[in-house]
Amino acid sequence: MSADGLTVRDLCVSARRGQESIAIASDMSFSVAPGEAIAIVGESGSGKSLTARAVMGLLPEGVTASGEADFVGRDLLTLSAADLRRLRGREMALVMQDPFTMLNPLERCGVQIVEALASGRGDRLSRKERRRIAGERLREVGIDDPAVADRYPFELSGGMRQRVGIAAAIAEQPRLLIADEPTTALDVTIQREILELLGSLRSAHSMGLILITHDLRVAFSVCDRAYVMYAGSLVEVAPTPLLARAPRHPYSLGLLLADPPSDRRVEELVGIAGSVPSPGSRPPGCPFAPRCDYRIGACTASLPPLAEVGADQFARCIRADELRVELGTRLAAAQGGEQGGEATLATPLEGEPLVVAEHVRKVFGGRGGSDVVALDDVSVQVAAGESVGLVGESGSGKTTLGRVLVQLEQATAGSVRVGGVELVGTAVRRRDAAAVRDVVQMVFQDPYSTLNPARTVGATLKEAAALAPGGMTQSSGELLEHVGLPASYAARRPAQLSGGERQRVAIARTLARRPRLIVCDEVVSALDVSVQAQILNLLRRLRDELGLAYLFITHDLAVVRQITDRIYVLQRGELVEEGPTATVLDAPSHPYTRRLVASVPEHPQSGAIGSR
Amino acid sequence: MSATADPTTDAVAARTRTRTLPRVPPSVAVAALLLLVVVVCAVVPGLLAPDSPSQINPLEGLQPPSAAHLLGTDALGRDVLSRVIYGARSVLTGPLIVAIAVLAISTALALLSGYRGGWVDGVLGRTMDTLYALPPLIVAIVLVGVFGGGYTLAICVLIVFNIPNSFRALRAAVVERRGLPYVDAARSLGVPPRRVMLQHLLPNIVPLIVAGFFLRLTYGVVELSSLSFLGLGVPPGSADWGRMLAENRAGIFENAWAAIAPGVALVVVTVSANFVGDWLYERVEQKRRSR
Amino acid sequence: MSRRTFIAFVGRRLLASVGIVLVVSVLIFSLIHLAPGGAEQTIGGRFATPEQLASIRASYGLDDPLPEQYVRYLGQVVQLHLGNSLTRREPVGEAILNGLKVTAPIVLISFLLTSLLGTVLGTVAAYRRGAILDRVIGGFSIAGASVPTFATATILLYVLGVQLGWLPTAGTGEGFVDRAGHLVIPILTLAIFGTASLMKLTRARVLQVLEEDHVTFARARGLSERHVLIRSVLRNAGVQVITVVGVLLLSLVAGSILVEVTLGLDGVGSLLVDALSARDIPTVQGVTLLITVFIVAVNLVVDLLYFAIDPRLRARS
Repeated sequence: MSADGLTVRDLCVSARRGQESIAIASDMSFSVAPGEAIAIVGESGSGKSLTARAVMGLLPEGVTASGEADFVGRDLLTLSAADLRRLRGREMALVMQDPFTMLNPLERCGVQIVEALASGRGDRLSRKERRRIAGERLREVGIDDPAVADRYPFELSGGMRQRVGIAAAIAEQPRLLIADEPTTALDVTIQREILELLGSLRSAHSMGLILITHDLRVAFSVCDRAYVMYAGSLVEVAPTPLLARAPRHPYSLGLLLADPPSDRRVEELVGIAGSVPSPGSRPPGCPFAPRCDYRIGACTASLPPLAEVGADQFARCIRADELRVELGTRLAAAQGGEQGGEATLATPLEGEPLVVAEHVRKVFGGRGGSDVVALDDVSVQVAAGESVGLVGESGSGKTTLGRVLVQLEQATAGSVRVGGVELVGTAVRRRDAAAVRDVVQMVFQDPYSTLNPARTVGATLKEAAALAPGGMTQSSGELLEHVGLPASYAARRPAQLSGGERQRVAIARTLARRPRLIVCDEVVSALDVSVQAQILNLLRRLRDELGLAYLFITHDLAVVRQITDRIYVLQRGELVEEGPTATVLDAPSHPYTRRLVASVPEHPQSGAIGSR
Repeated sequence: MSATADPTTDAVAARTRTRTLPRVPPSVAVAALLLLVVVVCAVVPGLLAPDSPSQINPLEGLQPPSAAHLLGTDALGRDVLSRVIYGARSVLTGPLIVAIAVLAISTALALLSGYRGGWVDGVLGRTMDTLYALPPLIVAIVLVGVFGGGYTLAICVLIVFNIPNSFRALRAAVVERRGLPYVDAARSLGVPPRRVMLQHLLPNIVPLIVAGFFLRLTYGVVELSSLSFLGLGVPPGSADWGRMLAENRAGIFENAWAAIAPGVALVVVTVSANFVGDWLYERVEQKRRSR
Repeated sequence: MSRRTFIAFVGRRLLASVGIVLVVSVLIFSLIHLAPGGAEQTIGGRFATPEQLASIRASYGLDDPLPEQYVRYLGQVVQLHLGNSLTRREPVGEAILNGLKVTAPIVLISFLLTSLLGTVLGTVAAYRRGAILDRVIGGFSIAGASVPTFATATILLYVLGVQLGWLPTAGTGEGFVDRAGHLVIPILTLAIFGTASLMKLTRARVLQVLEEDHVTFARARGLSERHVLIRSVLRNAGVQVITVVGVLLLSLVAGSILVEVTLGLDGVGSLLVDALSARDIPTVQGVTLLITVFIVAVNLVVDLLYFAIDPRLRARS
């Protein structure tokens, strides 16, 4: 490795909880040369964020790191706090995940960008100098309006704040930039812009880039090499084109298969059973073994070493060589499907549509006359048994429309008929409101707060079932098994379940109410990719079994492709396009839809890796 | 898909199920124990006190501690130790009433205000904000002083003016939880509003209420004993620590214990209640931060 | 933020404050009428003869309609004529001024001490979280904040005055040095109480802010710890701490009443308590009005400070 880059060897990060020491990440070795971009890919609980923080010396209380991290001729892990501080900002920088909390809310943006320059250098720059530099940095990150420097963070959008954050991070032109999930909190159209910005900065300054992400697509679109982490260990290392074509570890394959493509619908999404173990409850031997399709007895005996399995490619699997062909075949089979064309297109049942919304308008009255128009002249229909998608980014109004259907919000104007009952205008009678609830129910986005933490799963399900017409016809146990959970879970509380399991319980709760249409509001967005596929499969199966209709609200075009027959596209509260899913996604007519489709990073299963 | 249990969450479930009692720091344990002693004194003073608290012996006024009177006697010759023990009842009763009333009322109002929102919330909010600015003790001193209503008036005033503080904290907690999906889910399922408030919101703010109880108790003891110290509230001559401190201050050179003992007793109660309440509050905060 | 919005905001708040004072003044005014025995009985005392009561009614204008009496009362208050004390031989205004000479230094000095020590110690405790220093500070803050001020004052009096004989035990003394000596125990008492409360809150708030992302981001850019402390931590923590400082000042006032009575100081607090037990309603009215104005003024200042510090509030109005 070049002497100018970062070389990390055997980095171990552990946390102290009480008396015991819990391993967060073990034996991490990676390197970044100047101008190189690597991705550290992992799901939640993999330890990727803390690994990056360890390199910068920014670990929280009680977390320590050991190993070696060579950078500009020094070992970062042995440096004093003062020396580390001198390197931060000047040689290495960090951009964090959430642009809404990353900046100091009480200081203007321009000040934050240049404050690293003013301090610690002895000479104080003049005000004019500072303004000039701030303007320069802003231009570099794509903000041409110098007035932004005088704004406070809360006056800017998420994308703008992230750009300001990047400008502040690279203000002193460091050699290495670590970006920790820099686009996760942003809309997909903005995501693409930020990733392009990072890419161009990398080449312009010959800066090394470490991109931490859970999204393989993001990794493939920006980085040269990927390090795949699972439960604290590296399981595969490979140049990204190679990884996309020929993964050598079952987990990498699992990730690639679980990621839904946006250009076609697949028969069955392949998830990975189970969920990621949290630090402290990792199994002995290979951490992936309990979930692996190819495990043998020897896998749980001891942790395999990270062995070289090809040119520049490493995998931590004792069966890596013998599985090479099998893994490649499975991937090729999944990729071999035709582009376009749908696996199934369910025909909607006859009769009046369950939901007819016409010219719906929803205005939220702000304080002091600042009204927010969430929906403007939106018309949507869902027939019995149909699966319809509602696609848009933040501020599109898609969630608002869903909430209107389940009577959590009231539309300001227009007509919304659910099961024949009109919801807008006159006050809805109690009996009618109950009838509407018998027709439409909702599953929410965040699995960690969708269940009452003080109640057992069984109690939650019973409450829902008791409200259904005809009362409780299925026991909690039966409901749980219907969604793929053991009946014994009825005695558990939400804190004892994983994210995916909690979402299943939420679905079971909705089923207990026996609706005919389920509004799914970003139900898989907060889940790990491997779990996402499980839930989507479950939803598809339930639809086939029970003849349910779905209104699927999401920003993710790949997900919407897999599970809907028709979609509506919303932008800033307006309906810009509608039609069969395949048609809209393959041949979008509205410019916004085109931009949305173009923003999706290239998918490994579609064969070609996008241009860089 | 088969109904298979997830091995990883099984481990987590097993761990959280066999959860032992929370680890209590020694200071809090001692505090709780001391409070218990005081409660015992309040409930069965007769068992512990060596003498009657109201037996006047004018000839033995302000005697220093001796074998017969472990803490000496006060100005009227009454046994200080017995009066301190009997005083526990007076010191705890009032604050208990205030604490329970404040919590009950502010919880109900916070649930209504936080859940319903709208003009109810607006009106309540403004009223509470105005009342919040007035220190309960000052208002109590003036009102009880002018109207001379004694104990009942003092309790009522303290209840009314301590509600805003509790209301603000509880309302914030309700509003925080009201926006969560599980509340939305209950509403969209068709759970009636009262059940949503009582079964979904209330159980999740109980830890906050319990923590608040001990803190309210502390404030109540401080406020009521301050009032009785000033001669407002309890009738003269009753075995109340605040009163005792006031009455025996002058005799601080003959028998300091007559004034110091009730003072120390007050310190013990207030500090202990505060330690316990503070620890409970910290635990609530921690749980809130670590999802 | 434009000058106009600022002035508009100040104007609005001022108006609201004056409104509150007026409302409370109505209540205060009616105290004399609501007191047991009615106004003339209160003024004349229990043994007043009917003729004396009649003359009182005439000279105080008690037969006029209430609103008229109130307006007259307001007029007098604005000119700072607060009436005459019923038990002392002086106008209420003068009594209050004399009282302030004792109370004001006590409250102000303890407030300054509290603000300084409370914030500094709280911040130190937050930075040294878990260490012995933090635990000790924490224990002290819980203890100090919960003890009633009269108990603390008595104990301090006993220890410092009686046992050790360092400080005088009663009254206010003569001459500057002597007076200062007499102020030590009351200031110490209030400072202990105030510092403990403020310390606790500051520590909690600073800890919260230390965990926020922007602090990590600031450190990640190589900013010095001092820079981070001042620009990121203290500024963000300060916003909430300021609101509490206002409440704290008022608690100090309440505490000073008790401390003055305990130590026999003739400040405004003692004046109030004595007036209450002697049923000297005009004095009670005067002192209560003063306290009300003070409370409202403190809240106003806190609101303005809050507004000035947090740009998000300015944008919203």
